[in-house]
Amino acid sequence: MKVKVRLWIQIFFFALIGAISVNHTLVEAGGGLVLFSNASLHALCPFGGVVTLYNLATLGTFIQKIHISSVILMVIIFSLAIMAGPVFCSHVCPLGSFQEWIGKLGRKLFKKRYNHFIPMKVHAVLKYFRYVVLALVVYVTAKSGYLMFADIDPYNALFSFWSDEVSIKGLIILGITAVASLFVERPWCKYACPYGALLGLSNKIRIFKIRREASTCISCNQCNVACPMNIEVASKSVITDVQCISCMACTSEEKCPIPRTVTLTIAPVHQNSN
Amino acid sequence: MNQKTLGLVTLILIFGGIIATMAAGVWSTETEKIPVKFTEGASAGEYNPEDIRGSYTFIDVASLFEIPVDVLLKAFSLPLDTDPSQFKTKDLEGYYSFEDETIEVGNESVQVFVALYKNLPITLTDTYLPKTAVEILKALDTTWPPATIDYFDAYAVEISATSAVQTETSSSEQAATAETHEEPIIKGTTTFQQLLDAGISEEQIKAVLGSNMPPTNQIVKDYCTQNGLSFAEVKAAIEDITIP
Repeated sequence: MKVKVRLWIQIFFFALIGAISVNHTLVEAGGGLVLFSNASLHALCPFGGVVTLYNLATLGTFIQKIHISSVILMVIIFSLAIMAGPVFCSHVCPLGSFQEWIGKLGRKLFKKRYNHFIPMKVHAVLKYFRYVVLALVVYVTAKSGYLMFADIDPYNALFSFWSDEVSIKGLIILGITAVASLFVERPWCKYACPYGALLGLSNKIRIFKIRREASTCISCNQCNVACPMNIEVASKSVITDVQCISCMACTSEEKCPIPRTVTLTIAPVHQNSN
Repeated sequence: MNQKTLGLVTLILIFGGIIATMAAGVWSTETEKIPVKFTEGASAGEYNPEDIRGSYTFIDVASLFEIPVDVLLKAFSLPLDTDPSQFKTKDLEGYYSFEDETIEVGNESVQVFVALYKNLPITLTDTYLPKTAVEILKALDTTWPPATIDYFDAYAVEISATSAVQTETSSSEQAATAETHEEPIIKGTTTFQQLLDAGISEEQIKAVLGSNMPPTNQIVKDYCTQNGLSFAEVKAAIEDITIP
């Protein structure tokens, strides 16, 4: 049986963030494990590093609830993105994993219709909405100096629903995201995530890119079907779409039936062979 | 690059980066617990008690200001088995309850106690101190000015056994209390934008500060510290705007 490395990494990070969040709540209440991290969710969010940059540059301070750990994680994740794209989204982000796992149920329920409810023309426009969210979040946070959107952040709600730190608005957004995940794969990532929007830009400049070798491709379109982000891989020689999350679902290791046809490489496969 | 390599690279980069920054002493998931120091006057070079944050534990306060932790526990009428490495100064705010809801013993009470105990500058406003803390201060070999004596008389509160809410009230009663207890409009982490969002005008903020409007993303307390203003006075003036 094929070992799904990505799935194990997703489970690991989901469990790790969950355990740290629970421990944070317990420690705040006077209990918890002393030797295990009890960091707050915000301290472990690399996007916190992004939204605090303006404060750091202008005042030399972090915004409320953000610490140096977020900035360090931001640098690490950007380095990873420059190398291989938004790997954070596909392998690490627990909210992405949460949506993906609910999506497995949606795929069973709706079969081939799953992830194709939204017409491609509408999707082509909607996918840019997350850049509006990104601009809004960065501007408002820079101006206010605090996490104004924390209350509606579904990631925050997912890992604090048991504590008094969660807001009803956050739970509603999380609920909508969960229900939407039954119809659309990774709806939050696709249409609303500001961090995904930012990391998606790395697809334009990343060193290792998803490439399709036209000379061996049999045009079966299996790569298109497999892509959770609705990218038409079969019509491209190299994937630079800002929606790609480097999940490798389209590659010859996963869905593509022809070896060495869709790969994650620096240069096209035929150049590598020479 | 295959999936296994990509997964391995991801784990190595993330945990390698974290471990490397930990080893370099850079990694931190919480605010550094070092208060600002006085830059002028007789106390120059000493830590400023007004910068004690609610996240400081009693052990942090004891070690930073060189006050025996037993003195702190006694001053705030805490049981001797209280773990001072876990109990934060902000925990005091939920620890006691008073019939008069305007009375609160919390982080600011610790700031005032520490300043007076160590004879460091502090602006005395309307911060309450437990009578036990006042008794410790009065027993010090210090001649208190009349204004401080008046402050002791006006703002010392009795901490009785029934004041400790977590032992005397049910959780449902605590929840009810929490619902009726209003969040203060200004805390140690409040930014100027949050004051604007709370309905305080730019003109009112400028009048309190006596200067131009600072950047909206700046924390009020940081601005006060950097500009030699007493945060306690600014806080009181802001609260006066909203609480007639």
